[in-house]
Amino acid sequence: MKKEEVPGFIIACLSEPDNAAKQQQLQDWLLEDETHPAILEDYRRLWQAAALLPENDFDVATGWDNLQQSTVLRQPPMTVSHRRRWWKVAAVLLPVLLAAAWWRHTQQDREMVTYIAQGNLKDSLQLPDGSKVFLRPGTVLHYRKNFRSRTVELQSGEAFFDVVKNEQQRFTVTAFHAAVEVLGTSFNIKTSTEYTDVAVWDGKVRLSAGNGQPGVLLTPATMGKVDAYTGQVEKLAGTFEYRCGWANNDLSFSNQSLGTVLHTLSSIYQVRLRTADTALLQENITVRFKNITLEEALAVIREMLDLKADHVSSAEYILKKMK
Amino acid sequence: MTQHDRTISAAELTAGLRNHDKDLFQQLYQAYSRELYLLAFRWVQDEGLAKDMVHNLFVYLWEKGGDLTITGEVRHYLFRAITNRCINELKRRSRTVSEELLHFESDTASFYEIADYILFQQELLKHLAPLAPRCREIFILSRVHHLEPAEIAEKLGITLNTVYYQLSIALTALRTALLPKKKLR
Repeated sequence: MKKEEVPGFIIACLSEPDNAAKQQQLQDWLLEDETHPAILEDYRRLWQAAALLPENDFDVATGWDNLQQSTVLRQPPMTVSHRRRWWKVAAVLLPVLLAAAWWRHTQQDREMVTYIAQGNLKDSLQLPDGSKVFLRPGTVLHYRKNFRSRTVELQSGEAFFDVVKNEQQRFTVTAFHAAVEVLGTSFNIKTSTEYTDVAVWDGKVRLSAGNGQPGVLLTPATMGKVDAYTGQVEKLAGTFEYRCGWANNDLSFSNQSLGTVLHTLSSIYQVRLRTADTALLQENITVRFKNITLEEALAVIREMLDLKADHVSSAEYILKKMK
Repeated sequence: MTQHDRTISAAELTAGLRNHDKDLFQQLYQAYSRELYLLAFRWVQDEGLAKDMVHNLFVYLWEKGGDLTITGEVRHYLFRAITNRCINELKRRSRTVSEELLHFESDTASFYEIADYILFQQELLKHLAPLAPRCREIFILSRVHHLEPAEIAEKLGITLNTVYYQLSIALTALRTALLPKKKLR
């Protein structure tokens, strides 16, 4: 083997630990020369260390800029050393401080809260009225701190709302070119620059384009969609409870294609699920997965469609028809 | 690099934090923030969160550092501090705390192993930057995003051989850059 071919050969062997032929070639190569084990070790260490790297390097300069704002650039608290003067200053400052505190308090009431969802799979948030929100990572919400109007703006991403019932005050979610009004219910809303869609789990919601038009009334398992460009609101044919499953761990598919089922499962469990034959994706199934693991869900699908699942890597499965 | 590479002793740091020494604080940040980010990332597996953990640790040092007496190695102290913050954050989010993390927390010997590893990763990141963009992209898809060579070839519309070729260029460059400085183990 030429010297320049060695790294490629080693990478191929490291990438396919289960390939017996490759591993045998590697063993042979290791025995060829006494320097080879050390070379393999170098590459192996690089290969493994790189697998645990973050995608982006740490930006020390920006980090320091941000840190300065909250540390060294912050003014230290004022100190006055003479007691007498302190009283004088206090006499003047007290009313001012009280006024400032009151003003701040009322301002705080109007203050907006921005919440950016974190975590790997989902994040959750309890709103001031007790309603719960589950959010996909990266989803951005805004609401007023006092929350009197029970209005949440979904700036981007996808969220599942479990709204506390309050007959006096409707709960509203606004998104880009869309508005959802509810009393007490739970539903999923996903927004992008092209459309916003809403799938209802229970209760009733009204979905409109937020332009004064009445929009459509959505009942459990139905889904509505607002086109961001035309403002057109439509109710989609079919059942869509499964759109809420990522948040409430209750995935209910009724006569949905295997493609939809696999797509939903892979986005929830962060794995790749493929089929050897794409025609399989068109087969429809009705199934409900409640609080179960990916392995259990796959076992059910395998039984239903007479498939086998190859676990090809830690995060990838390929489904095939049984011969 | 610069003065920031000089070692800060525990006594210097204790005194510096007590006196709110801005220069020393900046040196401390420049010297350790990247390592602490890598360590936090290792525990929490989330870039944004890892950044926040580092930021919050330094804010704590600035605000409450006056009451601290740091002994032993500064790096050791900081690694422990960020690790504890990560454990608390993972628990707060009801996420699993890995066995490796608990082991690190309870075992002093593993500190040196991890510290070595973090320094190695830091060098690795530094030397990834100058690779040709396509080569870097392929390396990141393979190592960071864990795609198989065949998947990378399909995704980028190139041949499998090109993927192996680019990966071997990347690894050879990294090995050449890293070996003279640090004995690879």
